Amino acid sequence: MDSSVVCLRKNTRRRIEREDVERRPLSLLYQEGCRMKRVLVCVVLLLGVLGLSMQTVAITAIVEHPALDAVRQGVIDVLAENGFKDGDNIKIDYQSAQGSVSTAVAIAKQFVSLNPAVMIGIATPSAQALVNATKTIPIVFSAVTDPVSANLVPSFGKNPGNVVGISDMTPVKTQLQLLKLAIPEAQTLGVIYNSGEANSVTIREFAKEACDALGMKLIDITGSTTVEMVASLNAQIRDVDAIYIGTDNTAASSIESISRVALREKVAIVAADIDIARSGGLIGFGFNYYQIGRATGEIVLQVLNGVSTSELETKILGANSLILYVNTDIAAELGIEIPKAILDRADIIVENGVEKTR
Amino acid sequence: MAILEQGLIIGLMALGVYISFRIVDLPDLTTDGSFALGAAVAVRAIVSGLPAWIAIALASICGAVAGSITGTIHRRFKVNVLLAGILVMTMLYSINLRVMGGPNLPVPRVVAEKSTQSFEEMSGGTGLDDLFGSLNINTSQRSLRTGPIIKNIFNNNLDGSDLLLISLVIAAVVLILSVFLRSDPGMVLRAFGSNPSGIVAFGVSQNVIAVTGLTIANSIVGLSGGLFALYSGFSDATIGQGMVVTGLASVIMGEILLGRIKLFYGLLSPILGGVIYQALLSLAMRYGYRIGFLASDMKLLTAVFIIAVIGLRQLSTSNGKRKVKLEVKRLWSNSKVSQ
Repeated sequence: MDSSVVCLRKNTRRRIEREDVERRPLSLLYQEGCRMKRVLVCVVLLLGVLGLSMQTVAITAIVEHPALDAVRQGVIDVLAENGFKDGDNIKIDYQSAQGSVSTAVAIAKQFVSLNPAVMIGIATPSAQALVNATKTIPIVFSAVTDPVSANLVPSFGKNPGNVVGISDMTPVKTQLQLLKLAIPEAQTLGVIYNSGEANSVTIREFAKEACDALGMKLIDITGSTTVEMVASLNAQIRDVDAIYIGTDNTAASSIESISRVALREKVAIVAADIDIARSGGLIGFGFNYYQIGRATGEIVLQVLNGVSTSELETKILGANSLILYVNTDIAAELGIEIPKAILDRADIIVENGVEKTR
Repeated sequence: MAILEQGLIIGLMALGVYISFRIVDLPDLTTDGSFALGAAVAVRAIVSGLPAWIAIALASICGAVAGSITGTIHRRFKVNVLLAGILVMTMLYSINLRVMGGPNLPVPRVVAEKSTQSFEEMSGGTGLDDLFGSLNINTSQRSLRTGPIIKNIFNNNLDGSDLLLISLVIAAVVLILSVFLRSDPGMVLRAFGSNPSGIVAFGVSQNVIAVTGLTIANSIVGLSGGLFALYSGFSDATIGQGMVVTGLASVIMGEILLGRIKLFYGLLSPILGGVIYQALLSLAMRYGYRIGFLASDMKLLTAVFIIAVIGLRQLSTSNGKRKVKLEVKRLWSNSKVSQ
């Protein structure tokens, strides 16, 4: 501080000396110098105060992926709409673990050392890494299908502790009921998923239950990579009457090849994700990940406004946010007559290559 | 502090890579699988109520078994060691899923009060329920999956106790290894790496050496995987992804830093390398975006870094330096011409 003051004085004197040549009143110049100094000090102080008071929101996702990126965008948008803009009054720190669990753990530990106001973990491993790294800093998880089995929270609803979040649990039972309603003759259902993804394994369990109740046989079509997945689909496609895809990341990545194989063999795809359904699915029924992000953002907002995490509920999205997508072009191609009851309720209908939203 | 803790665990894994790649000179790719196996076994053991030190010991033993299988496939069936490693790594992916009973297994830190419910059970229906008529079904209630909370050996408070624990394990491993490498069989192992035909000429079986080397290497990797899983609080099917590359980067980093200083037969250099590598990684993640790096560029950067270091070392030996000078001169004159 001292040295800068000395420096300022020197500069002022130099200016005074220089401008003296231009014959301006000395006293006025001195005053001007003083004012500048005062302004400078004020600016520095203001910046310092702002910097200290600026809260950090730390976001981490296990991997960069359209659905997970949409969640992040939803969170950021909700915060911005409510006066928490990145760089203005909060600092948003985002890091992706690029699919590596050890990086996710490193990011979590690093976040904790920054002491942010709230941390957001998108997808199971990132959320688990955060939850394990602190017991005090509020954590909001998102896009975790089964937070109870992942041991993030003891149950849905209000829980003591620093963890709360939004589950992307999808209505598996209704999706399979829709499938059976549209294709009553379907006897065997192929479920495509990656057995290495925690979310998908939970969804597969629910699909098994619903299949048993609906009198269908479930066939697992699994693969740990996109290549394996398409290979096992090719091997098993002749044994299935319909295909169900949950919110599986690997299936989402290989959906173009999956739908090509399915269309060739005239097998319908029912998906839990609208974006998956858009790439060749017959029916899609589920959430849009941007909405899940926005719901997560609402929770983050409350935490930033000082509400304790133990006062907030871990929940799923409301049933009114569900979107029903039906592609009548694909229905025609497969020779399937979609019941009018389903068409009447559809939010998005594809007809003659045009997507209509209602 | 957190970087140091994680760096040390990664460094321990790098020590395993160092043994296979440098000491016995076998490029072993089992690492990705045995790291995840160690993690899976340790968490499964802890969840079933075994004390933490037994869990970690089991992780190490399972890693050792994986390594010995790679060694056996390599020597018995005359399969290239790279292929043998890949095969075992692939097998371990499925085995790990079996061990964990699913793709992800947390160390219990909260007691689940209610089993996971389906969307319909939680929301009370979806608004399409009236459509189904005769198709309306009731799904049964699932049994409650509860386990007692298990006190983790790592407290995650960054108060130094975790660091102490990790350091103690590493010290023990380094001590045991350096004693072993000083003994006769250890000497044979080291000599094999630098001159295989010489050792074979002495009448030592190559099979025994390869299997021993890979067993030791993977037991350390498994141990590190077990520690890492307990440290992170969970094990995941993908936890071992990219470990070979991370391990190699750490080994090379250690060699750059310590150069020819071979403390404890060079056993300390991969550990130091692991810490530095982890620190650089987190710096790159933290500040890299300011110079335009994306998180997704990290893998490219890691690989380029390894190639650059190996390439530079090649060029700097013997007449390499002259070559570099000539190359620089040529480039310089070319650029002048083009101007």
